[in-house]
Amino acid sequence: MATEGSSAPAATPAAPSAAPTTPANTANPPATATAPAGTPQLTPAQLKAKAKAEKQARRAQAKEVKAAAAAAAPQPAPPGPDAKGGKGKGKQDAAQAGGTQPRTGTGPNLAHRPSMSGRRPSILVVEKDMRSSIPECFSHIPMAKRIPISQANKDVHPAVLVVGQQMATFAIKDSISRLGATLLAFRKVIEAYETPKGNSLSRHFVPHVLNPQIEYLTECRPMCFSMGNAIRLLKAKVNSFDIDTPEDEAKEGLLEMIDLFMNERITLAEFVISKNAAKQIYDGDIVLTYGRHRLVEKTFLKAKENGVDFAVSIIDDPYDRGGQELSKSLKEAGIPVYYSPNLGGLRHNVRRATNILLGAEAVFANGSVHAAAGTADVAVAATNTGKKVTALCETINFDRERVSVDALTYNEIDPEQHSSDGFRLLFDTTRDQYIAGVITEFESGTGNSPAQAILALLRKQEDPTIN
Amino acid sequence: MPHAVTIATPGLQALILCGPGSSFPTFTANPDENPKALLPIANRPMVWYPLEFCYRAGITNITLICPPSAAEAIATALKTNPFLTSLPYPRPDLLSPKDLDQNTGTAEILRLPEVQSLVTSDFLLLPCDLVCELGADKLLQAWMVKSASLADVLSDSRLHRGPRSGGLGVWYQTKTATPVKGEETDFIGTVALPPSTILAQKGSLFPHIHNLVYSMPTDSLKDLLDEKTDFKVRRMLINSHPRVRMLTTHRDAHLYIFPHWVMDFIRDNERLETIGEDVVGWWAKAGWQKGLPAKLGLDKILGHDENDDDREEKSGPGSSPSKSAASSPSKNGEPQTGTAKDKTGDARRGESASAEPVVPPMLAYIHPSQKTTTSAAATAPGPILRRVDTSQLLLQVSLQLAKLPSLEETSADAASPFAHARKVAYPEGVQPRTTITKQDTLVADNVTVQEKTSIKESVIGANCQINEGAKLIQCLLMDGVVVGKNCKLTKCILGKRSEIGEGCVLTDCEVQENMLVERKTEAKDEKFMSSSGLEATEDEFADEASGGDDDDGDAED
Repeated sequence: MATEGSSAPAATPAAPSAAPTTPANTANPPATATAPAGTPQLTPAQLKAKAKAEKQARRAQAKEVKAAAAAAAPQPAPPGPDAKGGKGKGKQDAAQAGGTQPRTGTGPNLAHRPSMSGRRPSILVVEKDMRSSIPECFSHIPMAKRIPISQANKDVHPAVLVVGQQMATFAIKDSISRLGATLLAFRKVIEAYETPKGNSLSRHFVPHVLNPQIEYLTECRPMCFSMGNAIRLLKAKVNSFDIDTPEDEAKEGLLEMIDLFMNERITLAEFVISKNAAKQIYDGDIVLTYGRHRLVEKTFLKAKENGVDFAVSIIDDPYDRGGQELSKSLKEAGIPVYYSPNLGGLRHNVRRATNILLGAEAVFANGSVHAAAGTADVAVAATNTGKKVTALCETINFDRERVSVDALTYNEIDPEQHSSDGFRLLFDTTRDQYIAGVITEFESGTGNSPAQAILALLRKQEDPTIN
Repeated sequence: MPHAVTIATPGLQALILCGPGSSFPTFTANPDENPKALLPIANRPMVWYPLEFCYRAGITNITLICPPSAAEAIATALKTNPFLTSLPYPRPDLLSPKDLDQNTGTAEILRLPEVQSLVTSDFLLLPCDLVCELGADKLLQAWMVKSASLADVLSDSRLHRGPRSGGLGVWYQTKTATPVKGEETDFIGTVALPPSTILAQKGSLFPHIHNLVYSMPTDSLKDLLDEKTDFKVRRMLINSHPRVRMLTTHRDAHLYIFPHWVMDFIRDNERLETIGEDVVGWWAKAGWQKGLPAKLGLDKILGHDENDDDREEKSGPGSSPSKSAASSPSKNGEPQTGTAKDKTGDARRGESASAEPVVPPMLAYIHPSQKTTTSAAATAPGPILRRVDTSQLLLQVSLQLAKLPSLEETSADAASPFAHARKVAYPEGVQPRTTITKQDTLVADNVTVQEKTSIKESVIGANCQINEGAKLIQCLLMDGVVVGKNCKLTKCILGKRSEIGEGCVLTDCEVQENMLVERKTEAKDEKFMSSSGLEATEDEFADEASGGDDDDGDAED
């Protein structure tokens, strides 16, 4: 072609672009042919720019075809060997590219043949779809994937399956219930465990038996800090066994550790905390709380048992209406309840209250309290009016490694309330200057940085990973 | 290709009850050689469907329960039938308790000692005639979250001083776009579950799960109404549940997920004969009828820990481990430190304190009926869920399954679990110049179809022979059928190895196995059955001759 010589710079972009895949092939020669024919007097630079633009367009189209093929995975792919009529080469390529992918991935709603194993890639595909509306800057915030049992690894124990599903559907929500259920399920796993020949429990148990359970639970719902702590302690205990410790001894040691752990740090902690906190409620108090927390509920009931005459003001989480159940149970105990369905009128509620009792999900190393979304508002409003804000938290929920000053560092996205316009976060962080005191099972820390006092105590204590 | 099940196993075992087909007179005249469980639905033996459902759920501990007389036929089929042998490992067990005969009620089956010792955990109970395309894992998830109590699963009454596990049953709508005449229905009353903070995911079944408060087969209801001319509702029901939905056109799929204590419940109550009517019915009533749990012995069975705090039940003679001496019933009057809620967000029983044992609820999953398909391509109809226990249902469900696209037409994942590999399994047997509408016909292996035949919307079993000029519309042919030349068959069901002579015109007929229909028969709505088995034996002849009038004992086939 005569114009080729004059548009030499245009030829070089054209040549490499002749290389790419088949869908683009047919488009290529006509493009370079029409360019010189349709626009006679383009400068070389303009021609180069034009060729570059066309190349971009072709690349985008190829990507689109691939994406369409991937998206067409749930839809029927074109028939295989008995292909009726001639299929374009490009479509076949796309079908094959799409064909290999859906073989490994199934949507959660599709029927699952017994021959398909629980494969990892399927979960990745689902996750991308669910999180597609969330901007990338929030990609560090986890969201519960809530996988169905058909996608669980085949080594997952039945008890763990049940616990995972209950966590995935938010039937058990707060950190201590989840922790308790998890530990009991792990108890069952340990009881059912038999070391295969030639292995020892201390080397085989964690990577082959415990880890699949943990992965499954994490995929149902991201772990809470207490679960992480407990699992770390459990793994440390397993590692502490000698390689030739007899299996029965090791199993018994683990079961004993779990029992002791649950007794001390869950059951006993709950008892001590509610007892201590109940002592801080006096006659005529109106105690304000946010949402429904087990420890707070137990505190109120204990205080009533002690014969204190007080009232409770509940500010409820509008999405998670736990306060309604709390008011029912308090009313049955004979405690008068003021109920507010959301944060509206917060200042009025705070003014009416005499002190504030909040339940915490976790406490960070800098003393910040991690609690249900909305707690921070209550704490700030209360502190600004000079009322005393007390947080209740078990020490197993203390995290000595993480620090948080805002609610966006460690949080969780509500899996039912997210769209491209916005999403709801499940937790928030209250800085330590807004919390007057933290009550744990060790002692109540009061003073300027109460949480720090507890953390100091935990640090001074014998490091719990060494028994 | 047999392989192992590779998804996680829930801790349940499955029981499949393979009873005689009393509603299938044409085809199960000989229930020992041709048990109902082996009748083909869309060319697969009927029992393949519940087995496949169990494997899809990940359940590997499956037991088929059948009468000893039919055991041999079923065992052979499990070893030889190509569909049954291609099910994954481990293979199902076959149990034939010696006291089981063709007339035993379903609850009586569970009372037999062999079955009592077989069931050791929570279990899934299926009939052999259930075709269920519904995701098994969704049903299990619904049970795990809504019914199963963590206290039971984790065997710990410390963390969750909660109720015992409940049960889950499945009901489906019979009034679909194409109802089958005479299909049995059940009359059920349901109550919505208390609102809970459980998040319902998009595909989950939770919105369709209700609390069952009343259950009775429609036949029994009709008897009751005939007797008493009006339907009396107990006031206790209305007191506890002011808003009851009564459903009359649904049918029990007989697919239950039961906790283990149901075995004790059935064992202790000899009056319970059938599961669908008695066990479920009484259990539903025990939830609200005061005094009934005690009469049924539920307080003893359910009575577990004597915790001083929360339990409101009368403590039974301790069947429970560990805890201290019997609680003082006087605690019932005091303000509770917490009602019988466990840590879950939902309160399953919001009833006020009473001295009754708290009976865990029997939940009902009401399968939403398929919307009338406006455009077949737009929304796929919902998963198929039917019981197939009459011949009309057999025909309808087979034809429905024949419409499913085969695996070669859709990708392996979009296909239903019931899709066949190919619509025409043996295309070489099909001569040219035949019309076979592939989208709604299923032709099995080794079928020879001669020229000039027309097969529309039918299911043809293996080894059949369709001769020239035959026209089949909406027919179901089982194994080895020979259709003569120029026959016209519409809506017929032809049993195994039957033979239709030339030139027959049959509409709405059923032909028993091994029968020969004479040439040029024209029949509508007839059942061709052999009268063998109706023959009088020599002894009976002798009796009659000595007794009095002669009965004709004509024997022919």
